[in-house]
Amino acid sequence: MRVLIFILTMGMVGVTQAAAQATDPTLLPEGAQVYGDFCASCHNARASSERTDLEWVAIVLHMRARANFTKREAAAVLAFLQATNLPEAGVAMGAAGGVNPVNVVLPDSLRDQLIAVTDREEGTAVARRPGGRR
Amino acid sequence: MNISRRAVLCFSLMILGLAPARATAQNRSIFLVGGYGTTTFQANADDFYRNDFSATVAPVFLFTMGQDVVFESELEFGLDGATTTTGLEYAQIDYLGFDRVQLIAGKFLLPFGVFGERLHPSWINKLPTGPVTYGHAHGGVAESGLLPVLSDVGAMVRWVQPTASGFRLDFSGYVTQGPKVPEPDGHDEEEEEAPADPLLARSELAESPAPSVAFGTSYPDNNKNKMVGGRLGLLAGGSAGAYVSGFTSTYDDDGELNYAGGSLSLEWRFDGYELRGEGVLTRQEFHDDEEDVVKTLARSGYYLQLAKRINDFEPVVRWGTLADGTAASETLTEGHNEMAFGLIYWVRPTVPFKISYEIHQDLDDRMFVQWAYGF
Repeated sequence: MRVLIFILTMGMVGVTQAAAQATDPTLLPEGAQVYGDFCASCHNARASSERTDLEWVAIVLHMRARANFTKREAAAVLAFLQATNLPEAGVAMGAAGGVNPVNVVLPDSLRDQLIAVTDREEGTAVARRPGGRR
Repeated sequence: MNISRRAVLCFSLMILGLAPARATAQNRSIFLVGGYGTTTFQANADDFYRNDFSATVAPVFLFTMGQDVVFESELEFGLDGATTTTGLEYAQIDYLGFDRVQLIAGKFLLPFGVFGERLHPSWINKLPTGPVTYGHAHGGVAESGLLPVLSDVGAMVRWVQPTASGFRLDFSGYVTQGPKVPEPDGHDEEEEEAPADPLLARSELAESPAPSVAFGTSYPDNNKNKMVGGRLGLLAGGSAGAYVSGFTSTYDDDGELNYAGGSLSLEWRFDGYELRGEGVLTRQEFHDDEEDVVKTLARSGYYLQLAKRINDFEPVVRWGTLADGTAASETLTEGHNEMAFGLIYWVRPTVPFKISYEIHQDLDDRMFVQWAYGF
């Protein structure tokens, strides 16, 4: 019986964490913060439009192993890169190189869109707009 | 139905319940090629005149399986005379299913210091050459520095603990095959009269009674001993960090002679400036045939690097030094100082065009022009 309770508990924790991660409204801002703080501490911030959304999945996993991110931080960075996978974001982030892309680099219009997406979708991470590489 | 059957049933239902939520496009297997390429022009004069162009390419292959498993590998291709050199820098499987813990196995870059694991790719390194502490790696041997960029075969566990206050602990621990004395490779003696790197011309290095030690070449392992090491870092957001690293192993066939290293790495970013520093020390036991005793060769060195981003330009200055290598108060290897000045023009965020001038103590100065491309 103890085993059963243990497994049920662990399962519920897993479900809760997965659900929380999918709807966490802080995911996008956290991704921007981690991207600016830790990715850009070793190399310039790459333009999110350089890669497709799917390619960013592989790259973020690779960089998670290299930079020792938590799983949540990696998910947040991925959410941020996919949400900003727009031509204008790519140019802005690429020119900045090494600074926080949300607080400093993103143009006001895009930052507003990002905030709006975060508010509307409660940070479900992937903002689908025409123009980005999907 | 007994308890264990119920448990299995509940567990299976839970997995089935989770599956639809996780079955997104991001769980597809993905194959991706990245990496970097470099073209370099090097010029120096005096004893070992060089006026050379060179090129390297280091493709990185990524294979992902869902969100938790990734295989990653980097190959290195370069020029060495009439031949093309190849190298397997890393080939590792990462299990990333835990939130704060990672399991890694295969051949991987060792987390010793920070430069070797995270900063050495040419599109990231702010100067065309590595710090004097790491020297010129050739076949896993540091031919003029304390250590090569370390890469070895084994297993590693990583753990990270962020805190609400913005600090984080970053730990890595590993067990690998360890170093060994490289086998003679049959190089023509005449070729050695004009070494590719002028730093190699110093006879003190060649005459050291302590043998050169190679990393990442011990397959099959030459002894029963495995190398054990780790790194612990404390980071303050993205603005500052400090890492302490170390490893210990034996390198001879009998597993009796110890080789150990330690490192302290610091980094600080403020107002567009980036300051990095890394100190390295090594202790190598060796058998002195003349006195028939085991001695310990102690070597140390450090570098400091300051860079400042100004729009698309980034001036860089680096100071590095190797102390004399000593054993029982006897100097066995000569110390060395290096000063490097560089300027980067960032053509793109991953495409630096670098010009640098290196001043070496008692050696000819060197000038580099390097164009790197991270892709």
